[in-house]
Amino acid sequence: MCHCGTRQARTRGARVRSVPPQKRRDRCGAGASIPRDSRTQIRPTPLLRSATRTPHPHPPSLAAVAASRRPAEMANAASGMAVDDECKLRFLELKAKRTHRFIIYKIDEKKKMVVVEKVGEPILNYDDFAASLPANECRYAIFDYDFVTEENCQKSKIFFIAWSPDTSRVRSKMIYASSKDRFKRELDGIQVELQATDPTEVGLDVIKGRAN
Amino acid sequence: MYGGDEVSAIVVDVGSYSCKAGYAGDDTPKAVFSSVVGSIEQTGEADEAKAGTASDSKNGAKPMDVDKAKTKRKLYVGQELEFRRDHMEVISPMKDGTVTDWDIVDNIWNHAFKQRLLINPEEHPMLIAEPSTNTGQQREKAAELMFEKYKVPALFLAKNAVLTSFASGRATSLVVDSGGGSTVVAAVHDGYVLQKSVATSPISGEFLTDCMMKSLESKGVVIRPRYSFKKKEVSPGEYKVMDLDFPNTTESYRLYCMRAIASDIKESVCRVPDTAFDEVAYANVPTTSYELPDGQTIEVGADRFKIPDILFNPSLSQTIPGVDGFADSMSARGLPRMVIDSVNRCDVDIRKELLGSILLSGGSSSILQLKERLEKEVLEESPGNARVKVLASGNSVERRFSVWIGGSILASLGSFQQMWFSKAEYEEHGVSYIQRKCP
Repeated sequence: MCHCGTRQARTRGARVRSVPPQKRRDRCGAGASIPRDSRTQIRPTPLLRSATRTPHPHPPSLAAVAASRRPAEMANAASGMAVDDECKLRFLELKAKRTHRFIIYKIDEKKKMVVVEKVGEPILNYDDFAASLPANECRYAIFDYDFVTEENCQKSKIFFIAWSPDTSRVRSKMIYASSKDRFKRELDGIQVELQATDPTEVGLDVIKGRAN
Repeated sequence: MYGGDEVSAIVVDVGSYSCKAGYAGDDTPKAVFSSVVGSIEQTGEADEAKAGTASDSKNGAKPMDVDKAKTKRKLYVGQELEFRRDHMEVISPMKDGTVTDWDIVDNIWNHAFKQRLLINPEEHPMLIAEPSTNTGQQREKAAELMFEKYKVPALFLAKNAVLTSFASGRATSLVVDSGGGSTVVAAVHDGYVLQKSVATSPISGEFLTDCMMKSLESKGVVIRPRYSFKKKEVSPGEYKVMDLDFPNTTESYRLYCMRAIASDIKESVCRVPDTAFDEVAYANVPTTSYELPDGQTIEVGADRFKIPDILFNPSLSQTIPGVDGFADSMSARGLPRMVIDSVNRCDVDIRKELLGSILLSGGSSSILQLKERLEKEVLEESPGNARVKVLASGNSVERRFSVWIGGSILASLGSFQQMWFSKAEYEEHGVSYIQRKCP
């Protein structure tokens, strides 16, 4: 077993980025026998989603497909908020080069897109991250959580947190919730997702509990 | 695609009890009126004249409550219902949370646009909130009516549960919507309603109102509908009540008026008990007085707690004389049972998250202590390590209108404007395209 596989791969940074995720996993030497550790996203959603969506009665024409590409991939009642390229780049840096501990994103309503608000240095810890979430405003956040398993193996998990405190305005709650699905899909490699309305829901104990 | 920033969309939510309509971007709906309408069956002689007006109205501005020749009835919507009319029956367009009579819905929309908001529907995109259980046919029917009759430039249909969920900042949650005509529990995951998790129950605001009314009647209280008497101030603080007699008033209208009063009693005095209701333990609770419109004062005692407890224990309603029980035991589950059943029908991976974010909304959710009691009971019935959290907005207006408010915000977002199902798309792809645009 190789528990540190993903870690090695990630620290190699630039080299790894050019390698497709499938190969990256092989690099650690343990081959495909470590699916638990892989950074590939585990998604139970597609099954559920296809079950809820009514199939289209007629196969759409080519023109229709072309015209409807964007709406078709969007969620029900989604806001249509775009995502700044910067968001993806910073996330890739966090994932592959590990140059950030956390990233805080916010929605810029004037630009109609999600933008990076703040990035945290790798030396910062959870408390710094928790302090960066505003008490009365919604945010999205990525947190890279380092921990040691019972077998004394260094591991890390990438958390996605949808932060919408009770005291924030209904309008911003609505915007963040309806843009979340689209935004999350841009960030490939999120391992655990949390939604929180008060600090206890993103507490260190919750993060610890979800990491295993 | 429908573009432009200054769109001033209209948001409409036709519920089983009240219809909410207003401009997107507002905090609360501009127009809130009853979803039930008054209907007077027309007799033969009016038929011919009516056939004439019906064909006229097709190609022009249609006056309010003009009846369709085929149905032979005259409908009274909104405030017109406040006046008693001979032979006027009160009918509802919905049954069990779904629309059964589109003609009435059409009249309600028309009333909202022409009489209340005073807008021309051809100039505003419409966002319509639909029940979570809506079928494909129902949505197509709604879209067709909107595009063909009202000629709206763009349309969007959004599910009630999704709007509520988004308005409280969650894309994944279990929405408990206890409204006027039905209580609906639906799981929302990443912005989609999980259809198999949707549970409905007829135990809701109106049912509680009926129970309240029957219970008071069995105790000898006579609720006199407002139209049946005249009240005059003879000297300051002293009133004289005179009975009026209208033999041609229909039974359904009399009931409608009595319900309005019983509903107010319910809203003013009721409170969910902390533990299951027990006739003996609550026999000596202090009473609360309530003054009826005709001046008589009644004392409400144990009923204050018993009536709301029906939400948790529906069989309690059978102890009230005159209330029909439910033949089907499945439909008469208590609220905590519905929540647990609904969660159990979802994928095992998301159950924990659903239990951790149960959202309360709808008019009946404003009953005091409902949130605390629900949280307690769900916690007792859920698997040991689960973290149960019931969320409800502290603001009762927000609770009651959460669906509309969600729609209002969504439709006002600049980035949402690309999502509309536009008239051009309707003309090119037909009505079934709505299933793709608004999944």
